[in-house]
Amino acid sequence: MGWYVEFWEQLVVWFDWKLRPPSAAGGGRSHAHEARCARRPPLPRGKAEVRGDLSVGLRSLDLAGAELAMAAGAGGIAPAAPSLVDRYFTRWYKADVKGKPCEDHCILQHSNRICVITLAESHPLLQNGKTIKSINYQISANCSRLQNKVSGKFKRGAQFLTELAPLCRISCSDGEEYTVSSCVRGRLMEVNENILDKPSILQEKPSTEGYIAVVLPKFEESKSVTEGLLTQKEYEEVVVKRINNRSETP
Amino acid sequence: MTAIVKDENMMLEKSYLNACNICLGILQEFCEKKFIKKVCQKVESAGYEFTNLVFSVSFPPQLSVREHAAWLLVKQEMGKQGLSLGRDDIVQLKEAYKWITHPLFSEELGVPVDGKSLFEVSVIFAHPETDEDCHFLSTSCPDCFKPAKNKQSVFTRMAVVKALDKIKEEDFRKKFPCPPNSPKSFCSAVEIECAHGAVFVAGRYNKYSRNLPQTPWIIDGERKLESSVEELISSQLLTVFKAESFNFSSSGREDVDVRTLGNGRPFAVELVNPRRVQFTSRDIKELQQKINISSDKIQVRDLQLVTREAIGHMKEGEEVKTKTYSALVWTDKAIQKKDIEFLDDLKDLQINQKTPLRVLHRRPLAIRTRIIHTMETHYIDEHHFRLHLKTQAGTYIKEFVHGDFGRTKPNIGSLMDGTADILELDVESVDVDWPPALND
Repeated sequence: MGWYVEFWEQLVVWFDWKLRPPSAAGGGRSHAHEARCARRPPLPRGKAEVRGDLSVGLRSLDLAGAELAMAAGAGGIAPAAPSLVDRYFTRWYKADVKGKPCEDHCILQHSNRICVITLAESHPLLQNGKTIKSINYQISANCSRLQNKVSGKFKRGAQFLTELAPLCRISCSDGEEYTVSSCVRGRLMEVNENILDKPSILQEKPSTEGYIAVVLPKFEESKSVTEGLLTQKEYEEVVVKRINNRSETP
Repeated sequence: MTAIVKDENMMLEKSYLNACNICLGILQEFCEKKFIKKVCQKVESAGYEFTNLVFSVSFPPQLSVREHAAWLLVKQEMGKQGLSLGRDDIVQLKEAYKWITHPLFSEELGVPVDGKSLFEVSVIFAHPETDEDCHFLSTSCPDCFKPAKNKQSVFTRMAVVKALDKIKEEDFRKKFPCPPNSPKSFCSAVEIECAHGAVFVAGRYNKYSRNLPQTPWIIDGERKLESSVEELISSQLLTVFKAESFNFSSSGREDVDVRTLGNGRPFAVELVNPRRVQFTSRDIKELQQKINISSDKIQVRDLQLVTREAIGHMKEGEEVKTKTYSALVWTDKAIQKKDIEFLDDLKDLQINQKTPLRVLHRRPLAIRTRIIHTMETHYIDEHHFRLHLKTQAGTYIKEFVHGDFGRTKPNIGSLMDGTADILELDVESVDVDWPPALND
């Protein structure tokens, strides 16, 4: 029974560290700093506004220095400033993509409907000990995602993707190969070429610099494109279930 | 029925006239004071302020056909006497009409007629009875008459005139009676309108709110944020100038959550069809004060009347001129003063910015090369510093700080080998010296 409690505690720590905004993560922060970070970023052109959530960043004439000083003196633990992803994007998830266990993807959807395809924290590639050998955007003899050319405001010429369309294949030093899929329907805008030069970025910053691709859904499908995906909460439940199942097998 | 017209020297008795078969009545009753008075009454009741006017009149296209017939007849008669007659030797109907009516308008309204005037009085005549007079031209010169756009008739005045130029005299005389048939009715004035050309007001605005969009923010018919820079400035102008509508343009713009400090950003408002146009510089100064009192979210300065060239200055300012900004930067790594000093030494740093994700849905995907001319840092604490920068026009500052998923390179984060984010942004200056600064 003892191991179960330990597992549960591990899980709580894991959630706390992995699933809170990146800016909240990392140790060694002073209490005063946390208080200072309480001042939230300016009102974004993002989901907060569209939802009518005007509580973020409302301020009139102000002086940054004075405000910081005030917050510093406030005392009490305050939430850290929401990160870029938190401010502008909604996280959606797809678990066990193409039936492969734990190959979870995280789709970041901007309020303007653009989707950034990334790996979810639970994906095997982001676990300790994995080294990426190479990333290949040539997904078939006739199709390379690198050859995607998009022109004009209406993005003509873009490769059209369905949910199951492969984006790239990633090979690891241990011989394992993983395919990253689109998970959403739409036009492919670009794939991340920065990870070709330095694959480790994918593991260091999977939610930002290590993104895989950018997809633009059709305007009419802006909302429906995420219908088959899991919310943050639903994804967390899936992960918990997995850990429970694993722990139950003798 | 007889109408007796008393002239100074002669007494004329004329029977109630039939409509002329050439001018369809234009040079008859529509040259008389009665009609002019009617038009002027409408002009006066419209309530415009004007010091001159331009009179534009539109005749039904078939009038050109009748004019052409008359010319051919006169040419024929002159030919019998051994004289030749060119097209330019006769006075056009429209010209004659204006010769007669311009002095009458001037007298009635008390202002001169000037071709360059911004105030236009327009009259449109129609004569439906004879509209089909033109139709024969489409068989003789089919290429002059392109299929109608929208619902308008294909027999426009321009097309008819073009066809009359082309058609051979014999063909014309075969298809159209010379002299033309007498119409049963007179022309009628179907539209009498007046309008004033747009006037332009320019100035510079400061924005002190972090919650104010440039233009009204409406999604699916629902307004998401109250008011806008455009409305706060233009609605006051619209009222005072008694204009129909406005067009607001500025030398670039800032996001909802960004303040505009310093001398402010140049803007120009086009006021469409204004009824009031006479303003002294004192009037304008008062108008400026009125705008400034009405809201603490924006303030305007250097408000002045300008010409249409204003728009060109706006665009130049947007595309070519540098801007300076102040950003509050957050870093994930703890920093010391010395860690940011290197940024002060970077001059004319070239960056490449892919179209930011936040605008990619409505802009083409492209890579923009921009220059960060200078930077100046002010250390605040281990995770914050203030960054002042002077950049080329068209630089996305937020993306330069947080890197936009690594799609802006280099960025503050990459330069500092960590992660940076922008908490606050202010525009410190827009380096355009237009409109001219006014000394208050």
